[in-house]
Amino acid sequence: MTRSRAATMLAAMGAIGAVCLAQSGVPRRARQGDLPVEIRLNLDQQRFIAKESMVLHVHIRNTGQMPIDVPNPENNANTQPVYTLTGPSYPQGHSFHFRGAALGDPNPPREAEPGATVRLAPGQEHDAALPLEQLTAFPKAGAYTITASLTIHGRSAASPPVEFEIEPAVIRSMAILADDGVQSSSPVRVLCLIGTPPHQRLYQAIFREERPDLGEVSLAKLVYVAPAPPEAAAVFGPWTNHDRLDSLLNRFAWQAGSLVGIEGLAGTPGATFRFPEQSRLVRPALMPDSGEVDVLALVDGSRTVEMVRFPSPRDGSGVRAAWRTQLGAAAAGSRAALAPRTAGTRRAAVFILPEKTDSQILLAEAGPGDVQPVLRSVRIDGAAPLPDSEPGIAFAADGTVYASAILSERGQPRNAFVADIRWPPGSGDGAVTRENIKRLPGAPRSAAATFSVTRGARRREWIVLLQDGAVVFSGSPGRPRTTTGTPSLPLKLLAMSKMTYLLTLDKQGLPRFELMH
Amino acid sequence: MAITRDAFVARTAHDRTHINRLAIPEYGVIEIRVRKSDAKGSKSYLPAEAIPPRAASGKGADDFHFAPGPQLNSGTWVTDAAKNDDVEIWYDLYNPFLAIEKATLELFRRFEKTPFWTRELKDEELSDGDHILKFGAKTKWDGKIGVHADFPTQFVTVQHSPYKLKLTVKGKGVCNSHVAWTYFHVLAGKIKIEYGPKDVLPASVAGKADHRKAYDALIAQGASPPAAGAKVKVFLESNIFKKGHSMFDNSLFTEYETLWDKGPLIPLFATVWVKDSGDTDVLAPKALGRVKFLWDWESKLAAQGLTFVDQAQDYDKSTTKPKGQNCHKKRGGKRGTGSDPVFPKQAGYAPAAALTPAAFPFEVEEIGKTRKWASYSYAWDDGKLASKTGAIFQPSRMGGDACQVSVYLAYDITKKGDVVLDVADDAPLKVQPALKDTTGTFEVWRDIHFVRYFKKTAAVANLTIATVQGIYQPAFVRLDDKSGGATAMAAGTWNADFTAALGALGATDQDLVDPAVNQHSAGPHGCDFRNLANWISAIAARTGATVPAVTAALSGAGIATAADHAAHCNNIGSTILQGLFDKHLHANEGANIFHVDGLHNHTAAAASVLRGYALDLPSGTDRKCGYLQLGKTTDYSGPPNDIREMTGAHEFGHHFFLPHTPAAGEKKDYKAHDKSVDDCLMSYNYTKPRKLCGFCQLRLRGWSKDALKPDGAKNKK
Repeated sequence: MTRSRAATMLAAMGAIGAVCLAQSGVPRRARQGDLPVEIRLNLDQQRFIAKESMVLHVHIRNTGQMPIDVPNPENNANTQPVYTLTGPSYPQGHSFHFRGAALGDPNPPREAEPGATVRLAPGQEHDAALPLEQLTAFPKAGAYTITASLTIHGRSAASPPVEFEIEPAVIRSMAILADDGVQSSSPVRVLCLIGTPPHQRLYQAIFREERPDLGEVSLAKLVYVAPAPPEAAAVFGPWTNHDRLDSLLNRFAWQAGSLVGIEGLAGTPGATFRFPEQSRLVRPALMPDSGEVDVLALVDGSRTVEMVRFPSPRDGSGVRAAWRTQLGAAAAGSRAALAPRTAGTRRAAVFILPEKTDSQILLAEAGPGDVQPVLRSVRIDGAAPLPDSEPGIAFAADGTVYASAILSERGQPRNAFVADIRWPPGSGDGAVTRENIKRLPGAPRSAAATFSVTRGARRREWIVLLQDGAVVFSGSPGRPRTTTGTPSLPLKLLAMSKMTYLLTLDKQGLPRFELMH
Repeated sequence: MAITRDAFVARTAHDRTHINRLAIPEYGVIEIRVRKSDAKGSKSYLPAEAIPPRAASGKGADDFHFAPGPQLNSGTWVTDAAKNDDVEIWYDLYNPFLAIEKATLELFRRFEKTPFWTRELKDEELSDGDHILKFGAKTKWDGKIGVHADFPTQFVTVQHSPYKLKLTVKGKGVCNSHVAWTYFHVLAGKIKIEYGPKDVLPASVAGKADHRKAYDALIAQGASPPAAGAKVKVFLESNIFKKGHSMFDNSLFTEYETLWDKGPLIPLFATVWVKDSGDTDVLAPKALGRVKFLWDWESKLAAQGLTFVDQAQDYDKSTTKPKGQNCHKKRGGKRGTGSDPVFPKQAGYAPAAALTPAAFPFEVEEIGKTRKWASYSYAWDDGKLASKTGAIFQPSRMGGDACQVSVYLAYDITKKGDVVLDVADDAPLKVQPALKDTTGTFEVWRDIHFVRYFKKTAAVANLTIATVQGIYQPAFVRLDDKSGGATAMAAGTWNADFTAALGALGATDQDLVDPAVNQHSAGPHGCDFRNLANWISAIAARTGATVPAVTAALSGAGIATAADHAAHCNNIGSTILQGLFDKHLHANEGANIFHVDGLHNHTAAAASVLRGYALDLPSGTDRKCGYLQLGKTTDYSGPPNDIREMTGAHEFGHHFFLPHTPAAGEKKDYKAHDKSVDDCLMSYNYTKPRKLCGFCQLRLRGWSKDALKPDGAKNKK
């Protein structure tokens, strides 16, 4: 796929930068040139964390006596206005324009495009908004200034500078928010707990998988969604079984020890629930289009699973325990899933139960109104769970449940294999198949299996993180590799229509989906 | 010399003076020749110490040759009874005293001390004077010697030439010339390489390499193989696309290998003429016998003028046998010790009047001794392919590999029986020009079909396909335009398919489309969407939510500005066009282009513009693909650096297994590009005319990615 994008622009901007630096004698104070146009910039806030949504408002007003055609700032055919940033990332200044950022092209197009200019009557003002965080990068935190300039027929006008501050993103926890089974390429959401207690906030990292076939996915922006309580330590969903854009539901789950909470967008009342001490959450929280959020947790030494329901804010009722059941053994790994509407929006979770010589994979499954789940299990002879191994679980449209777990031969943790279990809809024994993994080149540290979340057949993928930091991926098990960023633990693998990504933190501390290939 | 003779004396009367004279009887062989006529024949020899009782004629020459056996009519390729080159065996005995008791004709082949054919002269054949040996009632000899294991045609042949015919006499009396001999030859006149018939190739099977198509493409360039100095392209149809495979690993290599394996099968035949006694080249199939024909090849690939490629080609180029720059065995090619044969072994079958379909007629054996990259073949002495031999020429599948083929008559052997030409010398081998034929160059190309070009409306400006094709030519890839040109889609089809594709989306995304808008007539852009404000209003109207609530919900999903809206439209638009065009993927294998001017009507607001999309269409396979050409004319700064055709070539590149460069897109280093350049076609560098980097070229040619390194210098050896 060919795409023109801001990253390409950075290299292409050298020439523009040189031109604008030649104008560096222009004072940083507010100034306007001899063009009968006033240009102003403003941002909605003064402080931003890196990659936070920064809507740059551009106002252009005709101060002359005659109508004038000015470049439309929102049209990427234009090489004007030219914006100039100064700050820690660009101590010598960095100039760019929308065309360069959007198309990677420093030059104007050969042909004019309708809508590229705006005709302003005398006194008329045109307002535009640009996503500044997508047009340029701020690799370093600190104080920045931005100005804009317009040159028309050799006459120029420049805006007063606007000052703002970029703060580093301190991400404490991340959770993928997948629309399981219907996930689209954009937006792909990752819930982030950002900040240092007590100043913590919840953000959604908005990713766009711009090239599903190529594995090109980028962080578009961080969108603030709600404050987080000071004690929050982790986020964990929810996942849905529908497109969130259709339900317009925005709910976010956080955890502080045994306390869990669900937040909505800023201004929406949240709710909390406290599980027994030492409980462990079963990721992710689940949210159907009716709006309630179900949270499962392992309690009682991980021998019991309990599901708690946070009703829809529209419902008005309180948080309540939906069901609770004993597993028969302490769970070492777990994962929850929500069935599609076609399969009754059932809730399910899969658990790895290590025993003395074998392991059990147990499925707990319940309908939306059930007070007890149905349990089904399979035994995997001679198997032991890998450390920190999270199984994968997914529903087919007919209610068939697929689960996969990364296990090892007991006592030989490097002799790993994948146990794939298929449980028929409703009832019936699970069928197990076993896929051996080439002997791991090192001791495993963490592992995860997952299923693709987009429409169509569920593709199973897995990953193992080794003690030395290398990862072994299902797509190329013979080629262990190091990741560019730091993997978020427990491992978060996102399998899209073609490609699979591992959620990591990049050198700037920002979330990144790294293509596994 | 003492001899004992009984003499009988005639008595006479006592008064007579009759004398009985007792003479010593003498006999000998004066001369033996094989001749066409008295003036045209071989030369006879006697031992140096021989004292013939009378002088030999002294006629003849040492290079006398003839064409044994029946001859073919070159027009009908059947035996022409009127044609022959029969000769005489002429000899002269001195035997006035009838002293010769035994005379033996013996025929020897090279290096053999034991005759392979003998004949005792009898009766009148022993009488004094010259004789023409009769064969039955005939005075002519057609070269036939009868049944012999080494002469399967029963004729003297080129294989064992030259021959020595020796006449030895024994008798009572004095003999100072008991033996005479002569030499004659059976010579090949010329060899001419030609294409064998298509029928000898494996039958075409869907999904498999089609050797017959490759053959047809060769024949289309000329009925005969290229003459020396000329070149033909061997097109290997290889519509291999990325769907279901990875472009990041060595899948292109393995998929291409799976398809074309050890390379195309090109039947090369050679017609072999025998030189008759009049130095005319005739078709005398029985005269060939089991003579060997050595099929040899030379690497003719030249440096390409691109450093990375030239370094990779420069891999043991002077030390392999044969030398050259064709793809080395370690990169998947056939140059280097232990490579798969270029003339693979063939069982062949017995000469017949009709050919067996899909079977190669001639026996071919690989040379096991020295010249291991060459092979021997044998000729047919009868049937449809009489006087012909041949081999399957199987160059490697690697695009760019260039081979020149030679066939040599390998009749010459050493005393030990080794073929003289079985040496490791560089080609051409030193032989008489008549004993070889050499083709021009066969250059392997990959052939990828471009089967369809659909565009939304006539207003969408066509890509110049020739420009796209030109970008792939350095990689020896022919993008074969079978599309018939761009076709604008009918409004009804477009709108119906658009509606169907839209219907598969969620309600909120469907709200992007105003049902009152005629999508086809809305413009050359792919999708006509509501703007952000109108979209929000439509969602609010459908759901009953307030505009601020919808605005907040979309903002929470990262859609707050016109640019965000445009980015979302990119996603939805590409999904719709995928569904729309999926119905129009051509039934034939190959690549499709689906062209709109702009993915949607809001791309001008986007912070990231999609110019093309090498999507995997649901109906596509690894044999059928299509890409969306999306960039508007105004998205490009124009030649030479930034033109739409580069998008086309780039997207095709993805389908052809080429990933992005490390600096582009997903910022991953797949170790699949020349690290010394920044203008690879698969980059996003719009400030230079992009072209395939050397690594891309070699991969497209079929070379193993795993055997190449991004640092070109490391590929040289």
